[in-house]
Amino acid sequence: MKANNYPKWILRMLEKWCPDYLFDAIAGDLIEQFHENEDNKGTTYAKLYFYFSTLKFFRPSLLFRNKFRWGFFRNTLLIPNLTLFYRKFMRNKVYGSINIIGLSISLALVLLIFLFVKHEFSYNRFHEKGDMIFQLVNTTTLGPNKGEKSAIVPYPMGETLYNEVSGIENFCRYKTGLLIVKNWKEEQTERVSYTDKGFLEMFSFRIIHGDKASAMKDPNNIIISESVALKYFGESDVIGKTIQTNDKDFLVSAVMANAPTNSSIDNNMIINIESIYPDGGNWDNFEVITFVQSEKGKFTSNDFEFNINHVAEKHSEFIKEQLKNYFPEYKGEPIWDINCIPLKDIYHNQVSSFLKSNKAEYSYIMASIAALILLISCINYVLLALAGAESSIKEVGIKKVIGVSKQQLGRQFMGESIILAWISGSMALLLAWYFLPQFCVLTGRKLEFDFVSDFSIILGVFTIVNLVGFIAGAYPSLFLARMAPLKIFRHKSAHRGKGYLTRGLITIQFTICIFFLASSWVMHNQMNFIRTKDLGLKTEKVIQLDIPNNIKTNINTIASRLRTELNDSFQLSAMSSFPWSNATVLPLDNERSVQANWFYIDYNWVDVLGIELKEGRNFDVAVTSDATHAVIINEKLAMELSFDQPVGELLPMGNKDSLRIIGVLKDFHYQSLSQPIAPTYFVISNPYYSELLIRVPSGKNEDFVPLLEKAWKKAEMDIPLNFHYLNDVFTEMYGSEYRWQRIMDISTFIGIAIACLGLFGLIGLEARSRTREIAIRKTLGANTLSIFWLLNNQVARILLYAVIISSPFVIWTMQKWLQSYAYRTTIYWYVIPVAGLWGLLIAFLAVLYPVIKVIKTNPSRYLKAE
Amino acid sequence: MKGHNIGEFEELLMLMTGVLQREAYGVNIQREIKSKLDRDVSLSAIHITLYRLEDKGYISSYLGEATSVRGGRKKRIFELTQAGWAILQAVQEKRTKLWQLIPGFNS
Repeated sequence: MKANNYPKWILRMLEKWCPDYLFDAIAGDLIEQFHENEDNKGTTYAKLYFYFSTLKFFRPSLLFRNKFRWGFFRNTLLIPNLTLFYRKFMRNKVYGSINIIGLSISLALVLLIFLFVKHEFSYNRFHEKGDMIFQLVNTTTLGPNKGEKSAIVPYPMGETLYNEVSGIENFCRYKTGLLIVKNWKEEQTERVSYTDKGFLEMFSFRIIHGDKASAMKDPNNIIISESVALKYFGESDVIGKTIQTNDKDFLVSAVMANAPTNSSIDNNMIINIESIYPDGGNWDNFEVITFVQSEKGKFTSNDFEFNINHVAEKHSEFIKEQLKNYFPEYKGEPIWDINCIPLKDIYHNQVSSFLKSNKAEYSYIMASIAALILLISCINYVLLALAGAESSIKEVGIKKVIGVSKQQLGRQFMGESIILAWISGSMALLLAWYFLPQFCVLTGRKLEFDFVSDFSIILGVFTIVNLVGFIAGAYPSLFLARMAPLKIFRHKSAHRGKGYLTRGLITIQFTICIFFLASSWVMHNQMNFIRTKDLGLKTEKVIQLDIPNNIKTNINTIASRLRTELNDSFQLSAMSSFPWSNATVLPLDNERSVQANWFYIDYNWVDVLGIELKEGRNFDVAVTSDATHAVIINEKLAMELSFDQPVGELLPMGNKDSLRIIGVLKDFHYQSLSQPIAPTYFVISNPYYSELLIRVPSGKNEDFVPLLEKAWKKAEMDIPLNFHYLNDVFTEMYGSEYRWQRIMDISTFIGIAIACLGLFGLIGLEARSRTREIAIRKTLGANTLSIFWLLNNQVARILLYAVIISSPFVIWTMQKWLQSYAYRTTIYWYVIPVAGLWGLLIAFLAVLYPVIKVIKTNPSRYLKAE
Repeated sequence: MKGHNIGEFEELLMLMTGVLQREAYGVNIQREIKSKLDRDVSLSAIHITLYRLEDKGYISSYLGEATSVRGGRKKRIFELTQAGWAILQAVQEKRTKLWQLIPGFNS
């Protein structure tokens, strides 16, 4: 007799997965092998060999012989429930698919929007010293702009604060601009940032090549980003190479890794700010923004901001003196109210055009849209799961009679619901991944989908999916599983009484849909209004040439050379930048002043843009005083000035040179229609033009571009020809509006589509469960239309409720939105009811197919059965 | 017969079943393959392949006696069926035919 010293536990494991009828022989063989090995090679070897030989039996060809024994799986993988689920799904493919498609589309949308929102809130958080860096933002304390925030502070402010305020460890001034790079034959315009060397110490932009400490010592040095290095030199290690510009040549002193997409601060090209302010700016130089870095923990002390303001006031005495001369009502009140905005907040604090920023509201709007659409599809999911559970009520009855416990039934329903949700979840991930590029275009962000590092995405999807699955499975698993079998068989048909729940949920869905539909309609109306509104100036066929201000050729030379090259039918005018104006304050009398925008224009500017003159005359070359002492104003400014007869009066400019008003222009919109027309005046000033406007004679649009290029070449300009259509500039003003309109359109579409899918499924199930009734009605002579109405009158009623419930929301939100426009359309009274009618039509179309299918069936088919 | 081919390992096991007759059970087949052909084969591979051949109908099995060295477990003894014999012979014939077609082999 051999000793039974073989490892028995592993045999017990084998027993778990091995089919019963094979187990004995296999175990016997293994043991026999063990004993033989033990005799020949020792116990240890034999044991080891025994383990391996046994484990080798864990292979599919053996596992799948378990045809008659599921015990192993029943406890772990719930295979029979899966089979059941599969069979049920196949029997009701349409409804199952509706459930999955609806949920996965909306989950995908939620995912994408989550990515967007996450990206929006991740801006500027990657800097290691981020919680010690602050941007100085001043709140205007005086004048008509009182309360307005601005990040522009005097040039010496940063350095002064650094020297005089304790607790400030570092500072940097910052300003952006454009640079013409001449490394290639064709000149390129590049974005450039001017800043101090503190920039490199404060912000966590990684330097790939070069030395941080010396990179910005010389004003002739330039730091470029890796992408710029690759663009111009084809490699990243380019230290000591030259970037040639129209101004001077810069020596590359360092190469920086590209700024992450969630950086407000641009690092395309960086030049020492002292190179553009060689002799240091004065306290009246308002051109830069400033960041300061506090000592760790210092910011919490209350007097940090107080000290900053105190120092700023001290150095602004002479500005105050000037103000006293300029505005008699000024009595020397403090002019600074500086706050320190933490770096992480500057993205949502739109105070400087030098930094990328966006309103936080957009994120909230997006998130609400996502939530609403998710709600629609969750309701769908729950409703269809309920309806599906109704149809499996017989199954419940029979199972209960056989002796299945209510816990088991509950688990089964819950499991089905959650499996379906999981399938949707994984499809949503795929969909989101697939549509990410389109979504990036739509939102104008570079978003990335990184499952591995961004675990929160997976976690989020998992949570939502389980939650939806759980809610949808709750009713059948709690309620159906508890029903007494006798009751089920006696009543046979579906259990009633949950009508309110269903109707209530559908009402919520349609309320959201009508809200989307009506809102996007109002948005369309407003955009139409903007598109078709007469702006008072003709922007079509006007070409705008940007002339950089640091070039050697005078802009007037360019203009006159172009004039000689182009024929007379082209009208050409020089001006300061347009439609972005300069601003100033005009004192009206001792109490009042008015903020006015102003442009430098050319003699024929008014004609080029086709603006109508209301009173007086245009500038005239023949009148020499026009160049220095004349001004044209717009109607709005004329109104503000309240002269009886503005022409001939002097423009109130404080103690500056007097300008006599020679003409009044009819009001025209050069700003977005979200803003009211600003008081504006126009003066002639030769040296300060920066743009050329050219009106193309009608009918010459296509062949104009080569003509212009030829003229440009002939005129021998030393700068690249850089032009665009003025019309595009005006359209671009509404870029974000158009973007939002598209997002709203797509949300509306998805929302309605998902709701209709749900309705399709629900009414289809309802119609099927009432086939008998319909058959009887038909034999009694009911026509198709009346049966259609019978099945759908509820839908009509629900839509009516939805219209009533949604209208206050629509009116409130849209009124709010429209109020952001100074010029706006109204919410027409018919928008909401018509949106409701549209909803009804779409809903009827959605249910048409399943209902007609039931109606058209021969009634004898149903009545014969039984 | 198309679709009724057997692999090399399957053929080996069937031949062994034929050789061992009433002693044709898992671990014994393994042992014999080791001693006669000096080839190491895992026990699980032998079992799985034998079950597969059983599915195909080339061998059949019955439970034999239990011994103490097996820890009181029964043996599963395999034997060739008629179909098994037929396919073994067919394989043999085909092979001979091919051998004969090799030039200079039969001279």
